[in-house]
Amino acid sequence: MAEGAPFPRNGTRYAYGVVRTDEIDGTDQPGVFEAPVGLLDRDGLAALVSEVEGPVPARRSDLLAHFRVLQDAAARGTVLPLRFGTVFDSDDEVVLELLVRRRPLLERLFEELDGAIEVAVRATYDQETVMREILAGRRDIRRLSERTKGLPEDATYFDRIRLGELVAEALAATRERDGGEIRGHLAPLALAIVDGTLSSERMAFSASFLVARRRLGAFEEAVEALRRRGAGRMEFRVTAPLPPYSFVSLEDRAVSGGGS
Amino acid sequence: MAIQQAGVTRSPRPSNLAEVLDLILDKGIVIDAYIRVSAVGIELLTIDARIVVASVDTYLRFAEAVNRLDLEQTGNAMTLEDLKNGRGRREVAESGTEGFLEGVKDFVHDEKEERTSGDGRRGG
Repeated sequence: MAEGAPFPRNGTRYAYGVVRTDEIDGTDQPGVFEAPVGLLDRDGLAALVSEVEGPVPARRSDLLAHFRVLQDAAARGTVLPLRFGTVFDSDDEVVLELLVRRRPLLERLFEELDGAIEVAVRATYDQETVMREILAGRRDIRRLSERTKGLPEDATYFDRIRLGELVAEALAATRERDGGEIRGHLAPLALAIVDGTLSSERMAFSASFLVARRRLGAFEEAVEALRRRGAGRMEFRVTAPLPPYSFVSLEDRAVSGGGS
Repeated sequence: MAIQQAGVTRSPRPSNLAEVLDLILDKGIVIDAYIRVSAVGIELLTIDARIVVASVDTYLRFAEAVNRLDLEQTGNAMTLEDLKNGRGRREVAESGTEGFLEGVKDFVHDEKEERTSGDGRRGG
């Protein structure tokens, strides 16, 4: 047990992530339920844990606490984040299940992710601008729009569905094109990319990039360039540096082949 | 370890949690047997935040959005190039990812949450 971790021994443990003890020796960030966070270590690896009673709800405060503990660790070294809601019955269970049983995986991840962080890049469309773009490029869509405008809804029901379908396809094609361009600009500066989920029709792009810390400045400048080019049409949001949430599952990763 | 902080680096603030909520809930190392989240099952908490595709509602919404536009303004066939070069540029309000944030708000504050299901996933 790390020194100076003021939490009771052998309670149920909420686990946030795994760090290397030569990099990170603790955190002042309060954890879930505002409980103090400490380390349980074994042979150079340590789990960030706090005491909890029973399962953890997913209130905003709980999610924030999880997030902030990991952010704090990521500011000081490489941290392998656990998914929200990981709870063990005892200190021994944390050590055995995580630091011993899964040690080969953890060591491999530390090796691969050392010196790198995650950058979440999201972009949303200005819907009106993109709709106009689509209209300008597609006579068939313009025609169908003209035909259905201003007429009673039940009279034009099927035409409007068809119109919407064409617009949806055109929007998907726009996203593909824009996505390709964005990736083209950012992939050379990243070690790996994982696609994110597009959570609304308005979203243009969502992906997580694994970026070497020393390349973060160059990466963000590249996003700034995209931001300038997309002004009025697309809005970018970048969140960085993040612990490598998207890159600790070995299945999803697509290596970008550049930027090391 | 020194972290390079370039001038344009944006450090995450609490207000950005919604932006990366899907990472906290859907990503990270998973040790299945030890995921314990109360009140609702983890399946419900996985933000299944996908575009609702291939639905009549979506198409009707798109049709409405397109029909709301004044075609005369578009009739001079503004191209993508034009827009990139600054023609037709307009102020974009800070709109955020509405659907996603709304979903998150509901999800985080409600005790019961219906799972939003979507058909298919579009690549970024």
